[in-house]
Amino acid sequence: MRLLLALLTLAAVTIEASAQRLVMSTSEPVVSISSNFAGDTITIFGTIEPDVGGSAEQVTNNYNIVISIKGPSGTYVARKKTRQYGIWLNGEQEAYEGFPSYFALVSSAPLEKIADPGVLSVAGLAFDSAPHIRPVRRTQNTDPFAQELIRLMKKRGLYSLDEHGVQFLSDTFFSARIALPAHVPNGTYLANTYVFQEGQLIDNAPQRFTVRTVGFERFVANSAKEYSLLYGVVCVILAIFTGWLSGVVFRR
Amino acid sequence: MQLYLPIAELSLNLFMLVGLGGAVGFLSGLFGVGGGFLLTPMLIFSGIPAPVAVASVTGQVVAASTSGALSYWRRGGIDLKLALFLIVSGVCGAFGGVWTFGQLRSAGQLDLVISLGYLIFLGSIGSLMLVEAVRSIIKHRQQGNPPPTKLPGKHTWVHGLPMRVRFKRSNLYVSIFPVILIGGGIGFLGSLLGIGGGFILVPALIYLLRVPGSIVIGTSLLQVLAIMAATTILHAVNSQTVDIVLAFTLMTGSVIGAQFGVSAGQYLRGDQLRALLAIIVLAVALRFALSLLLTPSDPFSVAVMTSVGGG
Repeated sequence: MRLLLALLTLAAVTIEASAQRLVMSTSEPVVSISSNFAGDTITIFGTIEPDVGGSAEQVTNNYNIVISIKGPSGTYVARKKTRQYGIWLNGEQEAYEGFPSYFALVSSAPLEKIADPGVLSVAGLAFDSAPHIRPVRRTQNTDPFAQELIRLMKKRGLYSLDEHGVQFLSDTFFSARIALPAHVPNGTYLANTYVFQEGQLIDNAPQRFTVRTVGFERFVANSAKEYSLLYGVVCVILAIFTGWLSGVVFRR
Repeated sequence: MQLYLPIAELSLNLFMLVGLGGAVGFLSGLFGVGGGFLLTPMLIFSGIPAPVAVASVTGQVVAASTSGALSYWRRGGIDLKLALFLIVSGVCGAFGGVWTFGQLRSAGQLDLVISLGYLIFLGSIGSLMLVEAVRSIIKHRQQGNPPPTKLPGKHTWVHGLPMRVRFKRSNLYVSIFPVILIGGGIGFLGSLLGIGGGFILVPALIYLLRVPGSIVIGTSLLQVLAIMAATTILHAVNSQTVDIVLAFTLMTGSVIGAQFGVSAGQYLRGDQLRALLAIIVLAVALRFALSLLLTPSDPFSVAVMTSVGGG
């Protein structure tokens, strides 16, 4: 992944000859999850500028933008139920490491009109592109199961593709709104914006933001991890107290 | 109104959760069961990850059992000595269950074992209870006299075993082996299937040990309370999946529901209660049978092996 990023950066630098550069930012560096969190919308905006020393004429139009937003990754397992002895049970399974827990792709036009699938795949702008599918053991099932895993993640609303999500407000200024669902995982997110012109990647810029619980919710989540025994005992005491209290209140 | 659950890492409707807790609490007070066997599948169906649902329900069962057990305690409906025997053996069983739980989970067959376990135990116990209760109701209709609170004192092979102990409150003099076996078995199944086990314990105490009906529910509630308290702490330490916000929301609903359940239970005869519980247990068993036998709408499922995030 790091190697790929380095390559991409190098590629971007080489193409800098065309002397345009992408400046972007997100609406909020930290998405806070509090007790009434029901999902949030994050806005990513940016502009394509002439490079230092370049002139405004070098910046033409016909740009296309693809933004990928990836959540923290983990090891995911896809399992397939098969019928054995008359009942359905989990049979074959495939495990994937470094699989993003959240993955949104938003673009200014249908992806096939922006660039060739190969170009997009090298940039990691496809759910099933090589950097995201890292099987623990490669078997004949690796690829079909990866497709099923992606389908399940889409069904849960954690993977999404919006081919009209990026709006150009002028020839060079764009913005995109990305919806984060209520069950979005906590962690560090990477929003990477890619600029394409005539099927070629001309620049990209990464931006990180954090999704995390705050206040009471953060305190609870931390306590559960750091003082797990005490946390368990407190849960039991709270439960017994609640039960006792109700017995007193409702005593007849 | 949406409520964010910090361990489950998702939002659910507050009123739905309280309502769910209330409905299950009513049944818990009525029958002396924890209600976990209904609540756990419902939470998983609502989208809560299975480990969080199982672990948080144990906390809810503690609260529901406490208020129920206190009600029975005041009526003198608990045999402390019998409960102690069941609790000690039950905690040992729970350790075995948690270990097996972990082994099956890493093998990817936990769902199957839970479904099969629910099907076999709920199916067989539900059928037995229903047959017995219907027979008792029919007999009651024919004779017109109130059914005895203690089941006919027939001595089965269980009562011929050695090392007998006297349980005064229950008016029993039985071998300690079936008592330990029942307690340990409930502890094992309870932690493995993510349920309190009251619905297995109550009939086991009635049919195997012949514990009188007036004692059985209170004693069972006390045993479930102790085992579930131990299991909650075990889950909190082992997997850190106890969501205190979820558990508290559910228990608030359930303790209120349980009070009404206990009152409602006073107006129903023992055989009617058993028939009702049998029907509910059989319905849950049927649901699991269908999930095993029918072609799944989606053969694929996804599981997260390592926790994501942090921060």
